Amino acid sequence: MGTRTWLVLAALVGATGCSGLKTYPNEASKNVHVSTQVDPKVRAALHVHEVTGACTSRYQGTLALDRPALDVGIAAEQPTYLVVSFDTSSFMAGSRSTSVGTLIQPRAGYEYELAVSYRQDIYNVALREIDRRKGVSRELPRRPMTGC
Amino acid sequence: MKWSLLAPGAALLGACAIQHPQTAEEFRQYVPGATFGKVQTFEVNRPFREVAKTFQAKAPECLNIAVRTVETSNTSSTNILTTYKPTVLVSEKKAELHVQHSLKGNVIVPGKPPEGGDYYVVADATPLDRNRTRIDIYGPSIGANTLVRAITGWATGENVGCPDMTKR
Repeated sequence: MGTRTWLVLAALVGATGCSGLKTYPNEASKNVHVSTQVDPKVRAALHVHEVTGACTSRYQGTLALDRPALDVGIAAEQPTYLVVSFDTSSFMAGSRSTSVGTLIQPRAGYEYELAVSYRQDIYNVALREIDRRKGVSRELPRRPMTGC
Repeated sequence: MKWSLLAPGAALLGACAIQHPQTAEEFRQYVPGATFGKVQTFEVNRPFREVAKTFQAKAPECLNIAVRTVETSNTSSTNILTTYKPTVLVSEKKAELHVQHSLKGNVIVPGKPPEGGDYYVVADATPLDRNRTRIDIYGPSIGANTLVRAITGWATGENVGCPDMTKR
């Protein structure tokens, strides 16, 4: 994993079709609620990486964020690196991909809201932790892998 | 292998390639007279301290990034890594946001860029009164539209999202 929180890749021409992506099983209890608002030509996706220690990770899979709301199950009490990617492509500009990642260690009994938006080349990825029992929530700052 | 003289779309860098402003102040002096330079000035109905706080929060979050640009065709290929470096300086009378960038890969930039890379965009916020702030943004007239829109959103507080730096 690079030293920077975000890696942006602009593949202007000649992007290959070999993505290597697989579908995230999404079998754990649904504790992360993702809301997505993106421009029509933008493809957003959530990539889940299990943090295996010493700041190394294992890719678990990807879910397309192609609907306004999606519930995702992330293993509680286990560090996970979530990456949201935004892909665009056009005939003139080629394909471009921007991604942002953050570490999360979901606490048992808590829920999380991941708000994802991409409008007119400006994007937002915000993560909140919600304690339903106390009716309180807090925004979680973005945590890069380098901070682990 | 194709060697690019300058980063695509970074027109102001072209003008700066030989004459590199070495400081933000030199960049402010340089931009108004540059062929592809542009200075935008506007006021926002927001206290100076809030604008400064937003610059401090969003610049490192959004602009501490690298963009890799890959172009391939039958006869050539280009692979350039552009690394951005944001700096925010805040005093009682001014908040400064400096965005520098440096290029690596098969690209030739003549001259000596300053430490941290060439100045790309500089935005200044100065207080007008308790609730109004003046914003001055120095940068290229083309090639930095998304970044300038993002900085404008941070200043107004209306949109604090990050710019997609693959889009110019």
